Amino acid sequence: MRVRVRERRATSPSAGVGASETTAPVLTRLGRAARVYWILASASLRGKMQYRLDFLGSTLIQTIMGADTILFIGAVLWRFGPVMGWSITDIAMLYAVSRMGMGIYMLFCNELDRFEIYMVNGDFDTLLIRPWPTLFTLLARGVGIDRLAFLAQGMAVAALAGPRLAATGAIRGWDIVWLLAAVAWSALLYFAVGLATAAVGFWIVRIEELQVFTMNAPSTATAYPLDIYPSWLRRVFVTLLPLGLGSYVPLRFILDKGGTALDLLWPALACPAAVWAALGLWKTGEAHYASTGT
Amino acid sequence: MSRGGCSSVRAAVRQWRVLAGKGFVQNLQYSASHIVNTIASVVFGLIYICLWRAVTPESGFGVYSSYLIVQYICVNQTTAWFTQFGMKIRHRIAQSVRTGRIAVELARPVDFFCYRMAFEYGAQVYSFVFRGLPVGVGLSFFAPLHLPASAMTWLGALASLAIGAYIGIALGYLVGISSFWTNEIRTLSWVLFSLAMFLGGLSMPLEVLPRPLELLAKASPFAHMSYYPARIYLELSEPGPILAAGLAWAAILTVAARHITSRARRRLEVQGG
Repeated sequence: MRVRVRERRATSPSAGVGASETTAPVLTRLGRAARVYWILASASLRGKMQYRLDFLGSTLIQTIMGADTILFIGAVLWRFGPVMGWSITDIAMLYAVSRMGMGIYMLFCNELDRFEIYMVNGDFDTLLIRPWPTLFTLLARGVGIDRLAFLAQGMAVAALAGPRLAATGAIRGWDIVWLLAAVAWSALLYFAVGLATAAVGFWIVRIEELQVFTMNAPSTATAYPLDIYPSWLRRVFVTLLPLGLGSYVPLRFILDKGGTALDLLWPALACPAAVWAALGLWKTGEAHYASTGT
Repeated sequence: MSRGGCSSVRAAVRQWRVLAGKGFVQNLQYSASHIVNTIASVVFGLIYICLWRAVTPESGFGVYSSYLIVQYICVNQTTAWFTQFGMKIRHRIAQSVRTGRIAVELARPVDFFCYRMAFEYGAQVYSFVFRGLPVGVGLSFFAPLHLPASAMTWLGALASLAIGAYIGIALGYLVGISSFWTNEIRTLSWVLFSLAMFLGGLSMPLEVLPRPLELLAKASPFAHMSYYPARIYLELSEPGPILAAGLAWAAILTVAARHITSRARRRLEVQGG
């Protein structure tokens, strides 16, 4: 039986906050949120770290074996040389930035990635009765420490490519700050796309296949310079599925492959807008949530 | 062969056919989500087509012209839905072990290995027809698909694919059956997926790899899941020796899987109920 849940805000403990709490300083509320997040996340971590050796072994193996994309790129470039002016170290840095962004997303938003289970099993109901916004509770209850391999891969590749790029003068001075910013933009864009995809689950329930389309395909595509794609596909990866906006666009300018200094600005404007739109979709979807029952 | 032998073979074939049919039909209910995935697969194929068009010299490399490499990618993106993608045998077995349902499955008057293999084979036939072929059609809008004229080429490629799918499912079965010893198979699944992608030649002809790695990949069972079927389809290899090597790998994996299954039976530890 599917039970429509519309009046959550009217009945949930969070809706009952009094005037004194609403006027409480923002910093106090943020501090409380941080404390609750820490309590929930550390409980999740303790659960996952019960088998430490298993965790360390699997992370190491996943880091090595999951590097098939960069091995593929390496094998191709080793055989054929640079692609559209991008050398192997340039593409390695592009891959590293994109991978680190994905790694941060996986670390803090692991539950968004497996949101289908909440919809199919009706587990989202349990989030609705908590006195915090559902998204906050969802993210806090499952830190993706077991998916650390993505971040480790990105950092390892960056550690290999960075010094070579610095030695050739391709990156210097402030470029490191812009590269770190690109990682942050990438992570935010992964979050925005992941959140929007999860929100669609409020209507269609099963989103695993949709995630392949909105997350996996653009993630693979943006591991390569977007110059190799036809212009319409390039536009898709910087607008509709905008993961390329966080990595390719700024790196194109940083590594001197074209573009203008505005390429460093676009992600700073687009990322908050993408997150805002995704949050809007999430709120709309939440209002339409119909439980599958538990 | 005696009459009793004939009837038991007929019964086994019928059992395989029925189970495979169930696996096929079960997937029909997910057709909407499969359409979304098909679009994603076309995008994946397009990514690799664009990449290869960008890197391949005009003169090609080895026996591969620029045209043939793109065809190689299109064929593999289509057939991978039979030999690699969408396989759930690992998770099905692991889930059964976790919930304790495995006790019931092992108690059935059906050989567990045959039961799992046949069911998955049917599911993969569905996957090929309803997911792989549409991907091929989608990609043909960007790179018109090569269709061999020779019937022998078609037969050889289909036989190679059938063996490749069997090898892929058997490898998945081995990972799944490991859940009798360890509840967590995600890492092993990942290892298998990476090896199949890299050594199988899904996204690149194996000749691209450094020579020692190329030889290792060609001798591995993974090459029968993508590289060899595509080579036969594109009329770059003779089917005979490849099919023989594929059958040998299928036999080795079957013996290994059955042996491990019999050991797993002895150490079954039911956790659910």
